[in-house]
Amino acid sequence: MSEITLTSSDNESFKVEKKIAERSILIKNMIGDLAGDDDDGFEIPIPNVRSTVLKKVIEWATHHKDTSFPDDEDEDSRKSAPVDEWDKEFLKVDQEMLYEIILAANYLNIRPLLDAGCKVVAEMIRGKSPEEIRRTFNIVNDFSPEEEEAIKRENEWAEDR
Amino acid sequence: MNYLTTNFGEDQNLNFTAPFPLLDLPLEILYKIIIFLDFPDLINLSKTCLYLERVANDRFIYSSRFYQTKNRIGISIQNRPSINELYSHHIMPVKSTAMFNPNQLYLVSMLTKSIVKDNLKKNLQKRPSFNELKEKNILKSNTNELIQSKIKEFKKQNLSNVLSVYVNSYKFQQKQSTTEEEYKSLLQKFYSSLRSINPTSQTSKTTISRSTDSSSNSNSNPNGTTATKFLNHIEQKNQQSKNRSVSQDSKIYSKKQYFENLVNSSQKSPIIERPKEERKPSRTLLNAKVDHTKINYEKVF
Repeated sequence: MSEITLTSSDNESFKVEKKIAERSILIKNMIGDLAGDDDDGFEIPIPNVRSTVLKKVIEWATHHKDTSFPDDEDEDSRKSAPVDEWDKEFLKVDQEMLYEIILAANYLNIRPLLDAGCKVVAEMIRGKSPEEIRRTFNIVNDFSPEEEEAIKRENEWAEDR
Repeated sequence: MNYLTTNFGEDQNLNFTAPFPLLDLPLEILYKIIIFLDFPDLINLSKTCLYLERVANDRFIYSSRFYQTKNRIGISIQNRPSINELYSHHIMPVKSTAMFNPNQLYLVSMLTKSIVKDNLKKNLQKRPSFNELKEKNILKSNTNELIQSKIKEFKKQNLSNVLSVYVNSYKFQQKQSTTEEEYKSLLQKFYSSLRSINPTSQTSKTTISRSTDSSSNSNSNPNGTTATKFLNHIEQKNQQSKNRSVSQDSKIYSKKQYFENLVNSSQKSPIIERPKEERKPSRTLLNAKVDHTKINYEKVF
């Protein structure tokens, strides 16, 4: 079983199985492009990801190394599927970490992880009033009163629910 | 602090350093998140700040939402239960649609028919008027005459149909011993209907008056083909009926005389013989007319 070394932005190295590393489409393509017959001792730098985040991502990939995810093309089943229970637990991290995991998943092109992260964030928004959303994400209301009135009028048709 | 919490109840136990930096996310990822939201949440999000308002109302969001819904509907349609399933769950009263009451089927067919009728009616109302067509130069104004002549043609054809019905009824009546008066009235009816076709021409009027005088012997009117047809009919009838065979010679004679008179009179006063199509007859045309009547005369006999 060939192993691959991933190096984080703060120069911490992680030895992972090729199969696990290939959960990331970026790494998979890279291996496909670069590897010859001797793909042992491959070292891939991942300059965008901190070691703590990379550790988390590797943890996720190890757990899901045998999971078969819905096809990338199958947009609908991807969207309607609820977040996996394990993923939910896994993503119960502080907000900074969640943010970085999402970015790392986006960079490494790990779609299932990215989808799970996005769903968790969407879950934060769901069912909240504008004021609650502002508080959750620390958003400053930069609408002028006139603009606010205009938006309210625009969306009046959707109010009665 | 409340604003640090997320939707997860247990999350409150974790020590959060900062709220989730939603606005710092790359736009690409923000789109991904927003696509997972339902419509009311999307509206609420758009009410929070200018940036999110712009993102949430992006065309991309709506178009992708549209495609997603389309796909979802397509999948749901495929997943709908079959008739047999519905029947087994007592949702459908009958197993197959073919077992529906014939009355129901009749009702359905009537409904569809009336719908079609309605649609046709509406379409008919929508069609442009004659004047509109004229304005748009689709129909030229002189086509009006063409239409008029066509209408005349149709009227003539209609008349010939009516005449054949008359003749048939006459045949029928003859079996039950027809009287001369009935025959006359029949002829009168025929000529009155003939008058309705070409009320302008004096010829028909004069011939009618003559024909009523000379009863069955009246023929003439060389331009009316239906009239000659009718006369041929009568001719045959006369020959068939033995009652009138006695007076036939005299009748033929009177016919001949009548035609000769007609030819003479036409030479004297061309208005009587002039067919309605030719308003301004030249000399040669007139001569041709006379020839025509002669030919007709020979045909009849």
